[in-house]
Amino acid sequence: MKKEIPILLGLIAAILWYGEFFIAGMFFDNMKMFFSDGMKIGGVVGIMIGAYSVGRQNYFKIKYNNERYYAILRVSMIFLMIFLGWARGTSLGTPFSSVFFNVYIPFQATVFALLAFYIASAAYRSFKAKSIESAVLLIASVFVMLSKITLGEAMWDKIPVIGEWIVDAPSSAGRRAIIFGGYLGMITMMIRIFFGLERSHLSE
Amino acid sequence: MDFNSIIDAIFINDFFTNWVPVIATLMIMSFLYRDNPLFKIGENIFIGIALGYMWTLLWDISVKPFFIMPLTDMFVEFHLSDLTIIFWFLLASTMLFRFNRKKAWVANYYFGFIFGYMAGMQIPIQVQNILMQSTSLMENVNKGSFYETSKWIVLVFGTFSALMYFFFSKPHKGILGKTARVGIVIMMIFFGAAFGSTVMGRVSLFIDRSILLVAHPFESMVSAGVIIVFLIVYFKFFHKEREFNDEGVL
Amino acid sequence: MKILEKLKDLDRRIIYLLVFLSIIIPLIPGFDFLKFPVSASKETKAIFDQIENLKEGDAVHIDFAFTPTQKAELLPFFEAFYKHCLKKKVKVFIYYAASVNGMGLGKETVKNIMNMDEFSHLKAGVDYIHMDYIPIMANIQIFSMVSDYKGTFKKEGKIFEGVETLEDIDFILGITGSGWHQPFIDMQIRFHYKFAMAVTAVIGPELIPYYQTGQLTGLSNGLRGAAEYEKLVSEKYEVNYYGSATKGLSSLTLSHLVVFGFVLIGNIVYFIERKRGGK
Repeated sequence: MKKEIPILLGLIAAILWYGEFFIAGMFFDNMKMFFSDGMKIGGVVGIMIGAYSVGRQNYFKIKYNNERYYAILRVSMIFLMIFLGWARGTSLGTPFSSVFFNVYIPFQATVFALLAFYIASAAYRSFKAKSIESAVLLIASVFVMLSKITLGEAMWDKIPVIGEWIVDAPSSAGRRAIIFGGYLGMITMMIRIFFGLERSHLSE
Repeated sequence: MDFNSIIDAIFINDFFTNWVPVIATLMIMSFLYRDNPLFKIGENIFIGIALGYMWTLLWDISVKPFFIMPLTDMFVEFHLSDLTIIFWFLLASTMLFRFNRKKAWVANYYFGFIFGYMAGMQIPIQVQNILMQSTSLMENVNKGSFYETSKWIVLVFGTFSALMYFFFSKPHKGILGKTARVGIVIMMIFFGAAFGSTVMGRVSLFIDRSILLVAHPFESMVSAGVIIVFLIVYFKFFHKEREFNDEGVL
Repeated sequence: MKILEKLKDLDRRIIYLLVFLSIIIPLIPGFDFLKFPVSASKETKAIFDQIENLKEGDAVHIDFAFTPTQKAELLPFFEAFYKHCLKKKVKVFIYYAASVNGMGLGKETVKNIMNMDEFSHLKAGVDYIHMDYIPIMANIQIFSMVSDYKGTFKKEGKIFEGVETLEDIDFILGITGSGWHQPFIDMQIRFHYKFAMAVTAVIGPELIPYYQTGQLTGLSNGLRGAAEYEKLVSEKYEVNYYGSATKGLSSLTLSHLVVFGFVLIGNIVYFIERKRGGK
């Protein structure tokens, strides 16, 4: 009973979606709205679970002094934002959105901007023509990079054409092979779920 | 001065809009030198603010209109269709049982449904997609110019040989081996193109930050100076351990 | 050789410093010496042409699905595209589906553009509308849109007149840095809407096959795509819509040259070492 009924539920949902694919009509429109409601409420519950999980994590960090002061800082920032949103609203021009634009955006954008430095460092350390394959990789990437910068065009007007050829023909062929593989894997997985063979998402 | 205008005055002023973004940017960038307390403080402020921002906003635009409001409306005027909300809430709440090891199976009802739902939706779409990707290759060879025709030939045979490399678990010898080797080269060109494009993407992320720094030259220089002095003092007097280098050696 | 050893164990901070300088120097006023003309690729041009072919009062749906993380590459494109739509006098529906965090950013950007003199007469709810975040998966949104475009969103606004189902939307643009729009691409086979994407450079080459099959009717790749679009709109309407993307092109060039330099040095060091090891 712990697994059979969930699998049956899944089967019913899957068959309904199949029906939708072949038959249109009132019933399926209502079904879509019903499922869509389910997703909305699922999102709401997801937020609650996330809040509970974060609260529990930070509680243990503070209790057992695992970088306690950082955890206190983190939690106080959460409460600051909740307080600002509660006191002055969340629309544009409020303190809440001021914190978003002047603290949140710079922090988040910079955390990811560090990747610019890491990719340069990675290119220096590991981008070497050790075999034919890696030489091909190197040449392809150099041409694509040249076609992206304006200097490439200014040097030789055929550079963008070569870059376009690389991206459109061989690179696209490689990507297509990955797409085929991915879709076939997906279909196999979904059919396994459909027939109840795949049970790893269900716990004992 | 009332309470609200005090809050406004704290968070909406020239110092906050000019200095704080620059300081935040440079605090995170100090990580490039070495992991240090400034970076960690910045990181934790960021995590806290991100979570607080997200939850507050989600409360406003998701929890309230989709859950709280229909629920309160229910007491004013009841429709049979309102029961769907309660039904879905109860079903979704079973997710909480995943926190308990013995009762985790209760969550199966929701997950079983969600996965079945995904399966039913995805299978027809993915089959269509495969057909689309393969039928688009079945075209007239002659495209008018050598450039376009060569593209098409490489596309067809490249896809074929890359698939050869992927799908056949037979030993790669003879013709199969040679095709598979072409397939590897094709894959490498894809990775190379992706890498070349990625460099552009990553660099432009920092261009955005640089535009901010250049727009506030005075603030940037002062903050950078203070942060550099802090780093020198901290690593000279407080934190004397050596750091791992790129190869992970002390 | 001492230099060789030094180059081999080059401190990463030197690389970081050079990259930092190569990006920041061209942005300082007066140091913009690497300015070259930019030409539009066919994928970006395709988006531009489709908007040009729209009539007044047609509906364009923008799916604003990125967070401040990808702001550098995608926000310039959004600005240029949005201004182009307003110039063409089409109705714009801006939908914040994937991320709550992008919502504030999008609304602020739109607010700034609407404050410009030439657009200040346009009204929310008539010429453009923000449709807020809905925590459902995009694929369901598409299914729901087919049955009732209005039903899933706030019904207010004159803008919804004549826009009942997905078929009434003439152009959909997805702006993203993630796989969020995969369902849109997949569903295109079924519903045949016009769907173009503006993506970060990281996933740009991955989407080329979909452009070739026609599932995507246009594709803008990263900062370069945004700069191309800025140029296309500015030249067509003879206005100055050049923004941060065009500004960043010289930094892009110089930083790429630095990366080339590092790749070259890395390879030279590697080959000299291999030759020695072979002896």
